[in-house]
Amino acid sequence: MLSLMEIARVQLLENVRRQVHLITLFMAAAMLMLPAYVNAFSMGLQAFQLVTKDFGLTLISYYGVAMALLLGSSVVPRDIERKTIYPILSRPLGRVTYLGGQFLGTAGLVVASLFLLTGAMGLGLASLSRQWDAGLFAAAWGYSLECSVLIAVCICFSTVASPPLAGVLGFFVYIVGGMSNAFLEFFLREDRGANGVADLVEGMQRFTPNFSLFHLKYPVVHGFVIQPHYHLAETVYALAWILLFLLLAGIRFETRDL
Amino acid sequence: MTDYALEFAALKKTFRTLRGPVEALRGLDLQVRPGEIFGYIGVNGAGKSTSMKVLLGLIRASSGTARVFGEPAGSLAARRRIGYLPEVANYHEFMSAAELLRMHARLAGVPRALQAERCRDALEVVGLTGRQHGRISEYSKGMKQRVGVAQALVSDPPLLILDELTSGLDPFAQRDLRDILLRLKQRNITVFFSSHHMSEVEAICDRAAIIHRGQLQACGTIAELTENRQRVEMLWDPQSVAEPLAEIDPQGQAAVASQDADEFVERALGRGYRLRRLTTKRSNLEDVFHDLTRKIDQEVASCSR
Repeated sequence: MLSLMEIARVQLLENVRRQVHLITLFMAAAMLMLPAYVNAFSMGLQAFQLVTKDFGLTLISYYGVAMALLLGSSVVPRDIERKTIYPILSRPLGRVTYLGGQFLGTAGLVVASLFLLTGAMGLGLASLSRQWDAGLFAAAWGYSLECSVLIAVCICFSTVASPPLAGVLGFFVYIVGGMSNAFLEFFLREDRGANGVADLVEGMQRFTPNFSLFHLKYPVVHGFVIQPHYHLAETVYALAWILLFLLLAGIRFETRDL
Repeated sequence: MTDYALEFAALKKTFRTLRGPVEALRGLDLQVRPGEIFGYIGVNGAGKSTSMKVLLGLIRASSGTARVFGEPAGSLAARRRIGYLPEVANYHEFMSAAELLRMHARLAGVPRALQAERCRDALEVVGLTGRQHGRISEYSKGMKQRVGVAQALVSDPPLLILDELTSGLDPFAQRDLRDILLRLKQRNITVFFSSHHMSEVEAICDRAAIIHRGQLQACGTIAELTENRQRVEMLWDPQSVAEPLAEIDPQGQAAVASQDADEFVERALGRGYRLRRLTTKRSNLEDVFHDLTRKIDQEVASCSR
């Protein structure tokens, strides 16, 4: 457990050294100013809040997914390529522990970034509306879980494929897993008549996480109450997928010659 | 309790590549005793790094066994007893030497109460005391290698595996690292290190092994390896030779092991060379290494023709 946390700590520092956090800080500054920018074009306070939350959370979601794909797919291959992995794996620790540490270090940074961006947006909103909307963090938690699962997916693929391919495969899983039933039924089947494609996607969805479960933007934007047990359920669901993907990665990585 | 710090028995490793299988190790047998400084010599691609990585579990053997103090190579128990410096030692360069050592102390499971002491001790052995707070990225190559040795030492292992420790270093840095190895010997640490520097191996090793084409070719003390081996150096007149021999350079110079001299001289005379001068000298490790590896390469080449 100590080894796991140590590797996570080093990975977090490594990501900070790669100046990933500077992009986040730049984004946070943009999120802080976003409400004022949207307000300048809004027709009334209510509309300005809705639009800001909707647009802001969408941006935060895309930012998280992009970070998860980029960092998740490169974290292990980078260590192998730079050969920093050799002294670490010569220590008495399992490769699954190593992967787990890399996952925690990467997910930690992404989750912290998402909360920072959400906080910045909330602060920007509160400065204009004089109301602090803690519900925004419910959406941030959902995105955090989504990104964490995606990082685990990318780490898993990166043990068998190159970083770009692992990123593309991760993105594919994200698209397939995040495709809503409404999209499949109304757009693909009814509108386009693409039943074959819809069937194929539905088949693949059995083997991919359902990312749409983590998308809480609409209830948050419209002020619906999200029950605590939903957060518990989505967290357990995400953890199960994370463990599964890390386990698969571990099985492959354990037998890989380095 | 095993008698050996490390041992390979009939160790084989075949890598599958797009061009077909590549045999990196072909039945390697070797034993290293506790407390020895053991030199591991071979050309690039001979199988040195591969066999070292097998000991650490970084690479899995295709067949055969490898053990560290009786424990299966790659097991957690085996890795607890090893300090390893890789051939290309890259570290997280944003760290200082002190941070790197603390990280490795934690990863190695050194008790918290002992971590500071072990780090201090390792820094002292490699002569970096007082310079441990600079960033690794700002260190010279020689200092980085010292940091590498310190990280290998931080868990106080009974066995050090150092892959090409002095490769690419200037003579002063090489000598500093040699001195460090001798200090480690006084602590009864087994040092298994690979090198391309024969003089270095001759100077500090208790025993050495020559590995070539994935097999052990010779093993013993330096005296045993060079004993009864003489080298015959010849100067030939290369003019008017229709079919020159590859062993004789354009200036007419050639050197062969004494046991091969008769056959070689006959061959050269048969090609029309005229012998101008012939001298014998005692072989050093470099001569033995050259003679052994060249002979094997020639045998392989003649078999494949």
